Amino acid sequence: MKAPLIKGILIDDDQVSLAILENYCLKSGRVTVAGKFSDPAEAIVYLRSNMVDLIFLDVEMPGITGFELMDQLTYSPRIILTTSKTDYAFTAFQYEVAGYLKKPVTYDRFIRSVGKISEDLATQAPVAPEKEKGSQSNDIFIRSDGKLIRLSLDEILYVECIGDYVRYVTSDKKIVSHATMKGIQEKLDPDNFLKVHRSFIVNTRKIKDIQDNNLVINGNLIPISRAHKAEVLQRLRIV
Amino acid sequence: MKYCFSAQLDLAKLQEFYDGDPRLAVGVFEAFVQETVTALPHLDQLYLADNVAELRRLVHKIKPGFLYVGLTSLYEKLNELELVCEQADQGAGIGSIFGDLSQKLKTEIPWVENELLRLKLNVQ
Repeated sequence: MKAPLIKGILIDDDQVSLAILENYCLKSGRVTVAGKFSDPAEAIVYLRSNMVDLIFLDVEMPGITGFELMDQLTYSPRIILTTSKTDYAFTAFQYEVAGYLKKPVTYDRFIRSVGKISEDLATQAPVAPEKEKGSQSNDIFIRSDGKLIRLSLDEILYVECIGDYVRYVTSDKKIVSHATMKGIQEKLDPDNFLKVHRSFIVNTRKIKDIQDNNLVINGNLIPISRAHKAEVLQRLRIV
Repeated sequence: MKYCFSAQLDLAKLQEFYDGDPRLAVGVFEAFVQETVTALPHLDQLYLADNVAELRRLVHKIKPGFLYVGLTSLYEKLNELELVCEQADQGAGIGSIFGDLSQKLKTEIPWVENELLRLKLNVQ
């Protein structure tokens, strides 16, 4: 199967780093460069109205870090961080980035990272995990403040990811735990829980209304990202 | 035929980045001369103004470019300067590193400017 062409953009405040990445993209024949930005603010504006598959993203930039830029995205393109430092590796892991290229970036390392993304895009048809009905408890245990707190899945209204932390919101409590969104998603029942935004998973049975691009759950407005909107509308059986 | 970079530059590194293809190198060398070399006077201004935070930020931003044009020892000197700037008690350390750096920049930047001219001739 032929690998799909990846639509990417480059964000780095250093023009030399942009130039070498652009060269590598052209040489590879696998990535079309839809834009290159030395000003991260311009990249954010671009990303508000354009979808891309991949962002090559510097971490330390004037006014905003690469991680803060990721927080502002309303959908989830693959991210390859490009940085001179290894200090950001843990945070990068927490953000579930697709790759981490330490500068200077060689063509060999570039093409390996892009190759993984090509494979990922070629096989991205989602596979629903087979559910073992009746074999699982309807409760989960959440590690918080040095304790394991039992929580019924039925109680959860929604889950919000805030940096390296996840907040479980019920009608009467909020429990914060150190975790990743991806890890949490795997533990929640996919029939009842749905990711509606990079930072939010909701319990679909608790949705009261939909107002514009927000879900209303127990009086809280939960944003629906553009990337997730179609799936949300399909799952909610709108007539 | 593969392009041969000048021996003053780090040939092993340049091989890793460009594999002897001058078409790949020319845009990077051009960006270095237009952007990084142009920013160098700003390093002096920040050092003289004792603006350590901005000096560190600028050094961090421009230092990978020095590897991409084969100036590896200057990259290492910039790395050293960035680390000293990050330390709270940087005071004395910055001066001596900055002095060495300025000398090396005066000597080595023309190597890159000359290489860019050679590259342009080769891709025409």
